[in-house]
Amino acid sequence: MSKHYLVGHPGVGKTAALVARFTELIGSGVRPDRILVLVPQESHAQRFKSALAPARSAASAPHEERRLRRAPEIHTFFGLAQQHVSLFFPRIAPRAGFANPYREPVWMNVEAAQYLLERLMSPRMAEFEDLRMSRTRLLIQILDNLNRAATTGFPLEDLARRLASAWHGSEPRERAYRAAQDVALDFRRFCLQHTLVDFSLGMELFATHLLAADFYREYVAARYRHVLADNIEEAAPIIHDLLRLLLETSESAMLVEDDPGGFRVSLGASPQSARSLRAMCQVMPVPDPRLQPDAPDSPARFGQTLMRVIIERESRIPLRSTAVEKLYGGDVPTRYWASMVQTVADRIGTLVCSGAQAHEIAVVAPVVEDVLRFELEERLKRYGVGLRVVRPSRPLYDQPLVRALVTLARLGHPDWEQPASPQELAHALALVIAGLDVVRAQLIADAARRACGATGILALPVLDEAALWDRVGATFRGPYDALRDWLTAWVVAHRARAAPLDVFWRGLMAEVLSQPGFVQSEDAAAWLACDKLIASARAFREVFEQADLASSAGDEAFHESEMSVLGLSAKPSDGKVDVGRAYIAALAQSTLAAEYVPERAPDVSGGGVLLTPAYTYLTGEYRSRYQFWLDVNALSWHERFYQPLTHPYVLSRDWAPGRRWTDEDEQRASRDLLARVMGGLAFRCRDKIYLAASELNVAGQEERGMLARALRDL
Amino acid sequence: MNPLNLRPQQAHIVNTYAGGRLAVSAVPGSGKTQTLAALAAHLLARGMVGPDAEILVVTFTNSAVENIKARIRLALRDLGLGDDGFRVLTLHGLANAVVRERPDLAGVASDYHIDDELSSGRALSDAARWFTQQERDYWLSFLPSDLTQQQRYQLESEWFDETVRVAAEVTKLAKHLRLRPAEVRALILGAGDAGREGISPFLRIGAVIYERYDRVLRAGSRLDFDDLIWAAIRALNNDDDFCRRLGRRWPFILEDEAQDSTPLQEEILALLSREHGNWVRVGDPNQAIMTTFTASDVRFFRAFKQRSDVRAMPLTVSGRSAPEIIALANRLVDWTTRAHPEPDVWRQALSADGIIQPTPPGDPQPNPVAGRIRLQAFDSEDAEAQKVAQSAVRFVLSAPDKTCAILSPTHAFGHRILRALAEIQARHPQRALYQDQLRNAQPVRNVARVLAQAVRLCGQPTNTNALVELRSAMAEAGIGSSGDARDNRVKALLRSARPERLLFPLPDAAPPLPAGLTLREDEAREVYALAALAAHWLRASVLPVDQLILAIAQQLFTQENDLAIAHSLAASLRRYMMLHPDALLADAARELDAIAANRQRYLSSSLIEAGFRPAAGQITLTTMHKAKGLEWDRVYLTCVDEVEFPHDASGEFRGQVWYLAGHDPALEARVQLEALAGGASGWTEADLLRRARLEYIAERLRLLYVGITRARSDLFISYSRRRMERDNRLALAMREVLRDGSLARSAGWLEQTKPDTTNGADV
Repeated sequence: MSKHYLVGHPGVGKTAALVARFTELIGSGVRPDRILVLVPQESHAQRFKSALAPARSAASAPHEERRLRRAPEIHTFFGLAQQHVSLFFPRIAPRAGFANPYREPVWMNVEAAQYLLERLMSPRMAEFEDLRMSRTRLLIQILDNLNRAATTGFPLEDLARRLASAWHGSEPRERAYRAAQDVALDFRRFCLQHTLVDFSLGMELFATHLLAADFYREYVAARYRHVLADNIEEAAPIIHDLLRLLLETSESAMLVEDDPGGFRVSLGASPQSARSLRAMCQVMPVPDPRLQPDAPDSPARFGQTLMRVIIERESRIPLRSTAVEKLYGGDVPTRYWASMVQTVADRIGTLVCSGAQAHEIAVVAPVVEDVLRFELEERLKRYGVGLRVVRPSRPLYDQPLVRALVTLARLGHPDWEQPASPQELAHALALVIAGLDVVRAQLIADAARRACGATGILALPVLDEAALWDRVGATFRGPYDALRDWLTAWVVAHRARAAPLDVFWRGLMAEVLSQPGFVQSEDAAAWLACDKLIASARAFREVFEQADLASSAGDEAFHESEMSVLGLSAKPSDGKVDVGRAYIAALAQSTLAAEYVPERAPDVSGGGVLLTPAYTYLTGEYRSRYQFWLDVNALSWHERFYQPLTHPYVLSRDWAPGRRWTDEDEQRASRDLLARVMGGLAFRCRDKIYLAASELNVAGQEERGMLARALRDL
Repeated sequence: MNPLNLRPQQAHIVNTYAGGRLAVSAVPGSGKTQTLAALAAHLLARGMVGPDAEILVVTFTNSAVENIKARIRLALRDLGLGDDGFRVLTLHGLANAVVRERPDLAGVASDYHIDDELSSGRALSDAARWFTQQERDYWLSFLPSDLTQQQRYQLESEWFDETVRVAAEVTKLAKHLRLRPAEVRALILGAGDAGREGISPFLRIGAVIYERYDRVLRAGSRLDFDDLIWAAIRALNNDDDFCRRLGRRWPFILEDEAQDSTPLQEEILALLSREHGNWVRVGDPNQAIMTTFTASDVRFFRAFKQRSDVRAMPLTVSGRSAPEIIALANRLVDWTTRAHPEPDVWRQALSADGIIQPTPPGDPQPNPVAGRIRLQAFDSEDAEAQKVAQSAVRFVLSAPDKTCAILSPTHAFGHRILRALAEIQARHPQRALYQDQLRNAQPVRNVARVLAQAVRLCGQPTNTNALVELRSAMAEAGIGSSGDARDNRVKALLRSARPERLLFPLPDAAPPLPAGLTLREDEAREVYALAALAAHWLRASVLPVDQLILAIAQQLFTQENDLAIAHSLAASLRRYMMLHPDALLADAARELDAIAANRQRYLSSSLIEAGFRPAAGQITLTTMHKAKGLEWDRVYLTCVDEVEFPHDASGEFRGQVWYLAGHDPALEARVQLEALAGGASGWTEADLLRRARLEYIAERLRLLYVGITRARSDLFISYSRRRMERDNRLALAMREVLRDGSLARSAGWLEQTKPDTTNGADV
């Protein structure tokens, strides 16, 4: 038996061992497609793919070449589950309760799920009266519950009971829990009715209809002889069930657990559940050379001590390190948030001047708001240092470039009668035309408004005043005309029958925005967001078509939504729902990023200092020579996102049914999570950690969170 | 141990307190804040607070927070300690700290928003507007039918304001009683079934608007200030462990301005101190003047003081005012508690514990020696406004090192004085004679105005005037530098510039300014600095508006208060943009304008007098309410008459509305809801109405007391013999306390029939 379970700190070479094992298997003659590699997100796949390249180029014999040409099976946890559900759908659908099991299923994205939930939730709003939350927040929690039930593996009918038994407040909550459960069940029924598969249903199909089935066991036994899985602490319990099956059926396996880990809480990550697999393997702890007594002081050593300080907060553990520098609390205290950003920018400037590479530096904060990105970017510019910002869980609509695309979509659909304002047009033009600043863009937009008259800017007009282009600069005229021509042609071509929004955007991107004169992929994350936007619009449309939502708007089941109160009504006057407009309304309302969708990770490897929220840093494959921890006083370092209708711990597999969740549990969980986050960061840092803080936060308030208290005696 | 220069009474409290519940009644100027700060420092010095714990100091306004923080830091430094181990919060700040820690226990998610009074006031007004449109005929049926078009137009607007007042009163009381809209509805409907004599239509209207308002707030995850307090209590009540944990974190709770705490606010502190019982409440029951705006009531602090588990200690020595003024204040207390014609008033209005004692010899802050009190009657309100303004101007011109305030009981009369002051100012352009603190505290106005101009510039970058406006807003707020002399030249330069060339120069493009213009070095520096700033913000203008405002604020403001104000404005605008998704930056700028131009009342308790300090040689014009906590060498108390300070509960009252046949809608709605909720069982509505009026009489007496005790040396009291087309008299209380003439003898008080000419030349 060769089943190994590697556990150790981040940065001690576990993934390298996994890759080495992969190379070893390949070298020993195993067909790559017989090896299953499971990773938490797609960016992790690269190392395995590149490991194959030398073997491929070295292969001389034809049969060797043939063998190695086969692609290795590298999947994300949920990607594999989803793929297998799709593969076996015809076989499992009849037993899973689909009204029309032989219809091709449509996978639902988050925007569509939210849109549908919103409509299903409306008649039950009164039942949530005891809580003060927006509709969006309510449905996010219902979505969360659906996903948690599926990834943990319990029936939806258990939701309310589980939540209620852990609630120990003096006021009753059952009614709201019950209502949340009912909406979830309605949603599930709707999906089964129309052969729609959302993430939660997909996972449930996987858990109940595949994992337990004999045919599936035979299938994986035949298919995957060797299993390699990285970061299994980031996986949900049903993935651990899959691994358990694979441990039984495969010849060899190597599982890797990062400790501290378990940061993908919203995806049901459970280190405890991962550890239950240890019993089936030979456990191999990987020692951390940085912590050996004779090793020099390092961020890792500091991280380990800090974790202890946070967890055993009563004891006085001396916290000192030469690998850490406080950028605050000196003789001149950093009072203002802006001064903190300046201090950080200055120190980065110094580091870069003294030879550090910008990409070796990471700035992490508990949350990364636009104002932080903007201020840091502007200040680093003065040092000639670029900034790459990774914020994958940001709502699409908050991205300026996405808004620009929405504005352009309105200009491409005059029949929507949603004219763009000069300001919107100016911002859109400034974002897509290379080198165009906001003032010049505004000059164009003002001229467009004058040319359009009272209707407002429904479509881009011809602008040929010489005086205008004199002021703006002739170089910008070409791109404007190209954009205008394309939009005009689009309107003409689709007058009879509107083409879908995703097709519009794809065309716009391919035929206009990728041309010279337009902003080239300078900000990779922004363009990635556009890709996501197009994919999301398309998936949304497919759901609409599958469930015929456009014409069912008048259904008894769907009540007038309060979106209209907010001026976000998706309904045109004739009672039919235009899918494009509905999508844009859903997008504008959506505060939830597509974090449940196993997405392509934004692997932005370009230069520049990395700025990212701590969680993104921890769940991506980032390592840095220098880390800057921002706002160490902030409460948000240790506070989880509280939502009364869902619960990451109570709705987990480790939670004993019927137990109450007490404040002490809450405290322990906060401390534990904070310790893991800080340790996780420190173990991923090679040379030095800089701590930054200001007395007043960006809002002008004083904060002193758990982290600040732990760092007090540093 | 007395390193902090404490008076014996103060030192006694500081040195003897080691735990338990304590009530300190403090008279005006007795240094209660100083005592609280010293107490906090001493508790820390004595090592009574563990490493993971903090002394919690709770106060009423944000400006007080800053003040106390600074004093505690100073006291700690005097004791040789570092400034750690305490936390100073407003009650709302405390409630927010509680809710933020466990929002799930309060029934909200982590992304709840707090509505300050500006945005909740707007939401309430919107809800009322919605109601008047939905039920227009019903709503209009309250107005008299025989009106001209012009009258109708006027009355509709007044009736609308009245409707908002009704809704505000019902909403406030319902939250105070912890009644959700559905529960208020049930009470009203239930009462109907029981065959009761009809429910007041005003209560019904208020209940409908409350329900609508609540729904709108809920849909946006929004909590107004009362919701926030309520949510904190829910969280603490829902989980004893949580409550105990916070109790351990804050093993001592020191509360300032305790007389202004509402019962719900008091409950938060009671819950937090339940385990350890270390709760020190400092207040002056005689200065409780917030009951009309909040649900506070002086009775609660008094009841606390009388509890058997509470010790009481006084702070009665005050060095603020001259003996004559102290005598007047003490006499007001004495007369009220002994001889007020309404027995209920003398029982509740002022407390005899609050008799002020002057400082003994050798006190570090002795009383001013010679004070004087003057009384002046005028023939009309205009005459009063003008003469008071003139007299005050003469004073600040002749005594530029002294501070001076004109206090009005109402905004309306305050504006009359403002006009008079503005006229005089026009003749004295060389120096600023007064500061208008009537509505918005000045800092709010400046922050909002600068932000409005900056946001406007981002919305209309091609408008050259936007840069000029931004520049003058910044100059007015004291940000950046701009010399007066070259003011017009720089202005002209900015106007004539091509903004695109000035802000975003292209490498090969023409210069931004017209040919032939040469800039002096200082001018160039200013123009280009401004351009750099503007370009910076313009690059941020594609961000969501709240983020844009924060980016702007980080560069403009360094004051803690300004940043906090900017943040609250940013949050408020974010909500506005959520409600109006099509709104543009220009709309956002208009919203900020509305605040800046005083059109919106920005009465947020977190902003009142934010950071305001009276400036010597300048008149402060404000209301008696806002004057609380401040002092001036000379104070003018205006409108000290029977309208503003009534004494007879059966007489006519301010809230009565003539076109509604003398009804007082807000009061009636409140009283009836109180009766329905059983808050006053056994009371008839007539009793309740009477009680409400007595409370009002009492509060106005306390307001008068606050006004008097603002003065250090000189107190000028005035009123008009004709007001609102009626004969008018000096307030009864003032007539009575000045009746025997003794204060007149000792202080040179004189009642003159002719306008005051003693101060020399005409202004």
